[in-house]
Amino acid sequence: MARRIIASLLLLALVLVWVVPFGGLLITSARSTKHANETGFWTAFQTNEIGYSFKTKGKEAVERIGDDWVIKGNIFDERNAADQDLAAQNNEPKTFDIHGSVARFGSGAANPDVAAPGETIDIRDGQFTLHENGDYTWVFETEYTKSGKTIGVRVAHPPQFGLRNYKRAFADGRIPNALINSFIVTIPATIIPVMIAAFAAYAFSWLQFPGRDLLLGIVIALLVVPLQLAFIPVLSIYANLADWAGDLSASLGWCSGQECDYPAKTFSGLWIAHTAFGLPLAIFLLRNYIAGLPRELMESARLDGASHLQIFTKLVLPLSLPALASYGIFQFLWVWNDLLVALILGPTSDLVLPIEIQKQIGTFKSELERLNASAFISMIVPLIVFLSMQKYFVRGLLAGSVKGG
Amino acid sequence: MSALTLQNIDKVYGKTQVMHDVSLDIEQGEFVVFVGPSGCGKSTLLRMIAGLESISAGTLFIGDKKMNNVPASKRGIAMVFQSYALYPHMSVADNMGFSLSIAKTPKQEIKQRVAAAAEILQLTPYLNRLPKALSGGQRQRVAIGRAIVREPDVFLFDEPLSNLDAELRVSTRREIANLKASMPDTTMIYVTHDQVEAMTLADKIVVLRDGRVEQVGTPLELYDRPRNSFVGQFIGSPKMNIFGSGDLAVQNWPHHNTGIRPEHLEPATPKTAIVSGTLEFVEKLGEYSLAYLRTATGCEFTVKFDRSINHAIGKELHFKADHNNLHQFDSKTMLRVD
Repeated sequence: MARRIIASLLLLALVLVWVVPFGGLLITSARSTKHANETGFWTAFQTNEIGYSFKTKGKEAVERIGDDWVIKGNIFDERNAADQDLAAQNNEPKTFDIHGSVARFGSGAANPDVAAPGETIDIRDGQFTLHENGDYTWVFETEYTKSGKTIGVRVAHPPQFGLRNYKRAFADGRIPNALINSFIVTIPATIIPVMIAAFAAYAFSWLQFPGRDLLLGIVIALLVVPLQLAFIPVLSIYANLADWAGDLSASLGWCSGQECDYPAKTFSGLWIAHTAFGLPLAIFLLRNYIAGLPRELMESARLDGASHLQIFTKLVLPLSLPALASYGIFQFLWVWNDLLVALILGPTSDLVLPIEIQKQIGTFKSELERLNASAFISMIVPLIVFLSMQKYFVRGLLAGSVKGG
Repeated sequence: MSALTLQNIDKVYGKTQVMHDVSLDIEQGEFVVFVGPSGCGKSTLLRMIAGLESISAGTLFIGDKKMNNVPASKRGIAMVFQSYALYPHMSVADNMGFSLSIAKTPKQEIKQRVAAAAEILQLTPYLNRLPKALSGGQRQRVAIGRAIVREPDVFLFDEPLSNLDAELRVSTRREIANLKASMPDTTMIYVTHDQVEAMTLADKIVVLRDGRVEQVGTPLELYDRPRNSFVGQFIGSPKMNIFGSGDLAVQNWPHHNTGIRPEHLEPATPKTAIVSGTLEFVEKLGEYSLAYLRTATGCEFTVKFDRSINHAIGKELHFKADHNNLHQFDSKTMLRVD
């Protein structure tokens, strides 16, 4: 009983460890800059007091009422209208409207906590009254000739969410591009190693050839080679290859001058690198699974006249689908989230999503919500892949450990 | 012409020789059973015939063609595996038609031949099911159906009944016997460790031990005239009693062991008895009872009584046997002496 409670608590802790940051990211990405910067995401569902500075109208709005010169307006409406105009001018999506009620206000941006709504304070020799709904009146005894004044207001702001950050991320063009680049890198870099590894795993399990076990040992030993070790040699190989191909094309007259400078860092280079780094684990996992298929099945197929290729395509491939899928998910997640390999071996102009996001951190340092929207876009893809193939994943991981799994 | 001939077949794994100089002639249409204790090489021999194991030395003929290096699929054989080895992701019909589709047989013909085989095996209602939706007996029939569809010259069965429960085993055994009867020209080779299956199914039994053929013959030949004490003890249940020359009351055969089957020992008076022993244990099986006894010289033996026996444990009992039912084996070579 006690063990079950501990296990449940542990599970709960694990779930929280994963779900809380995910929720935080999602919530923050749906908030306005002001909200995201000033209050934590865990307060997003309650009314928060947030300090704003508003500019009142000035001399252009003065009216003569009785003996007084009066300026009237609503701080929220004026500000929202101005923000929307600005967004429209910049071709940006609609901004978050400020709404809510005035909690306290003061005569300057630095002291928003002087008066309660409905109270009157003295600003520039005028009687300034701000009501809860944002309506204000500013009454002077002599004619007011200056422009508006910035006042500090503490607004009790109800929860507010919107898709502005996502619209901005997509409107930008760089995130959708990076998304497409990421797919261009990830899909071949997943399918190629899975296919090669499936063939290799079959050969290592069911074909007899000299040096088989030694070769398998070498392949598995490659598991411990660190990725970083290979960057510089691989990059220099790519560079030499590009040079050589350029020279060859030039000498054949296929191109001239600058056209012959083939890039060393390309998508195909990334596919090859990810395939090479992924293969040892892929072969190891798939061989364990495929070697566990019943021998009599293969023998029966041989008696039925099937060649090795037919046994592989008609029997082994369909039967090892769970293992293929589970390794495919591994490789997809790894390549999708990879920053290092893409940074060093990937194309310098067509960036993949992790690099693009890394660059945005510099550009939009103060706009946490915008970065979070980009991050969420990059997270949601592997999440969909994982959830849709989760059934295979669980079954595939058990493969080899439990017989018949 | 023999359907299948083995000439001096050896099988060597590394330095271990597992089959020794096996020679055998199998006539067309014969039902041959390889029988022997586990590890005797009977499955290896079958797999060598099938082409799943290489032949280290000797020659295998199927019909009049030498088959040593012919691939398994070209030998005109079909095999039913112990574990059925059905393709789990294919329907029953696809399982049965797999070999034909590999051979690029026209779809219409595949369908006909599968339907015909399914008819024989009463599998027609299950053709679209996956193997996992079938019972053990049905799976076994699919495995047999897969073999039938190929219309082989030689059928190979590798312990096909050992995964079935006792009741199903008896009924499937009868189905296999019927199948054989319906295909009189097809040769069948059947491997089992169960001497009851061997006795009931076989036209010809091949008893194997440690990679050597001990005896080849019809079931009754093996029962009546075992070539050595091993065959004598292996064929027949409960197994044959073997007495040393000192264990018997008569001393006619000083260098022989004498084998007497439990069912051939009859109660006798002390004067007429050839063997006497004290009763140690009784198994009452209703139809008959088995008594386990020990002679004064310490040799254990078994006697089959018609029905229950009422003697107390520890009592000394005396038995005689018809002279024709005594089997004499040389005490050194264990070979039959007539």
